[in-house]
Amino acid sequence: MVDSKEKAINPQIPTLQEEGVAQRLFSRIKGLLPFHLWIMLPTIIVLAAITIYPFVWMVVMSFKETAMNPGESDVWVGLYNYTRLLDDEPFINGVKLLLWYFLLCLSIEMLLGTSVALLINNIKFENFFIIIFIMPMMVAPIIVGYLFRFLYNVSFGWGFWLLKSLGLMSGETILANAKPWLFSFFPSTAFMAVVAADVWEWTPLIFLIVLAGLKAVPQDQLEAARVDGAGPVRTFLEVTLPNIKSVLLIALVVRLMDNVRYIDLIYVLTKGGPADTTKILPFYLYNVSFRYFEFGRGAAIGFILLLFTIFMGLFFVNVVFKKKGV
Amino acid sequence: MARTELVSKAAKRKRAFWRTLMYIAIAAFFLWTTLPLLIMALSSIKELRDAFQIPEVGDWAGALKMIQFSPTFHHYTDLFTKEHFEHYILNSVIASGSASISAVSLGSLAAYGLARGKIPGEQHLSFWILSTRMAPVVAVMVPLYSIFTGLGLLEPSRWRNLLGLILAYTTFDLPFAVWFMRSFFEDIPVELEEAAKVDGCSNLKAFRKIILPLAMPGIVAALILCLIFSWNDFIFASIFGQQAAKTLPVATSELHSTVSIEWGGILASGTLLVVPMLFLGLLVKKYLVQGMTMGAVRQ
Repeated sequence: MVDSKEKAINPQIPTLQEEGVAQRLFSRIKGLLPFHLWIMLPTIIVLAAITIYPFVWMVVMSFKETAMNPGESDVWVGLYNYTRLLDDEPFINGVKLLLWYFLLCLSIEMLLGTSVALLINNIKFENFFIIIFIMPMMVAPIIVGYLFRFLYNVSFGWGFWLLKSLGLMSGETILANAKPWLFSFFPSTAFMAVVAADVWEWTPLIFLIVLAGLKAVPQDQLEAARVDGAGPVRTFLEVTLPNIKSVLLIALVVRLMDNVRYIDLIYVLTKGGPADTTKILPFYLYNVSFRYFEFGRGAAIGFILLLFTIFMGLFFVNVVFKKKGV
Repeated sequence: MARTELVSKAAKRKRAFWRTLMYIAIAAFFLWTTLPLLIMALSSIKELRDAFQIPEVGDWAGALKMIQFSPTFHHYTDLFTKEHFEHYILNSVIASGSASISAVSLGSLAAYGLARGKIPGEQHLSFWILSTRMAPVVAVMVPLYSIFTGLGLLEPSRWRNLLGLILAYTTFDLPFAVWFMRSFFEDIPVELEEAAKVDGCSNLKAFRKIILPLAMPGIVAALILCLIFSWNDFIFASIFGQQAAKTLPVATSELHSTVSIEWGGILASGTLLVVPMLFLGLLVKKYLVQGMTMGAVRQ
């Protein structure tokens, strides 16, 4: 017997007379959650297992000092792992370099990517150029690292030869050069070399995103500007730019988050050297965790980085997706 | 077009000037993008002494040396005869393939649920899924390392290590798949399934028979993008793959030892690693923007 209330809520539950007990049980379980939640459940469980537990672990671990010898156990040290960061020279250096990394990579990539998108938009063979220009994105970052290491080599690197021939290089090495390149307040030459590799790989992404934005600029607005006799610069500033503003913002935030995510390039190119001038925060974290195996300290730094990305993510969702109503 | 006839000669010349400048800029960017890849591919089929041959500084004509050489494929054959790269390629295929397939199968269900269901706290749920994707890789690795140690996934056994790697890849493939496919499901009109349900289809049957076929392009694109992400991964594989389940990127990095860098092998293996991804990338060109921005921008 199925009571009438339940039957009214879920008419799909069969009566005892119609179905066997096992099937009835199944129907009852099925009725516990709406269909849409049932099909999300596997993903939620898997993601919870691989994210929530690690997250809690990380927070707890960040209050401990990792035991260095087998047989010892971790010691509870409270906030020490956080407070010690304040006078941890490599950490402060890492934050500083990370900010430089953001500034240089993002500004160059945004400028270059946007310019190329503007140049390519609606020209002949546009599709051919797009296919060629997006190739670097598909290359594994570690291979980009080796490729640029090959190009930067002082005795057989074509990149080094080109820079020298153009008169843009004064030093005798690129990757082992801790002296600033071009301007004295800049980070080291090695740092600029890493930035160049990042720019090579990810400018295409910005290019592609901006191009998608350009395609969405209303034709009638462009037409109106043309009829009014506005030049290309004015048309860009007053019609195109306002229309692609949100797309530019998305491109910026996406790159910002990915810049913290990967360390492959630095791992191959410089390993943080020379003289720590390329040891940006994520790479310092990698060293603390997987070279010194100080998981407690690593967890504290990791937590700070994570907070930063969560903050960026919130910004991304609220600003970018708000108008879509997600 | 009538306007152009009215434009004076001076303006025409000015336009030609800008046009030329534009072509030069495009050509420069074209070279900047293609030359590194070209140099990698060419150097991988050169004898090392040819690959290491560069002209004197300022000797521009000498740059032609780049294409004067007799090709050899021994760097490629060496990878297989001396270094057993077939194992590493297989490891890469298994790890990235399984992770992508499981991410897309679980993800398509969840994406559909997220697209259709009216779930309380849906915003928080979707943000949580997104944030798992955005978390810095190194920060995630520390706790995963300790958890995998506890589960015995870091012991020297090929299958354990591979399983660990697949799990690790799922941490970024699954949230990506959910976010990416969600918009594909949202594009399918609800009326279609409603009609199917009126005809007596169950929820699941309507999903299988009506929705899945319509969302297929999105699902395939998600699969390919997941493949690219996990195939190209190095950091996860270097820690969780250990020695027993080395993937292609890790094996490549091991040609670079403390004493020497085997450039021939690295460039050959790099080319092997990149070429299939270039083809896959071409296949999903249309969805790249949507994929890389988690669905925020569409092409």
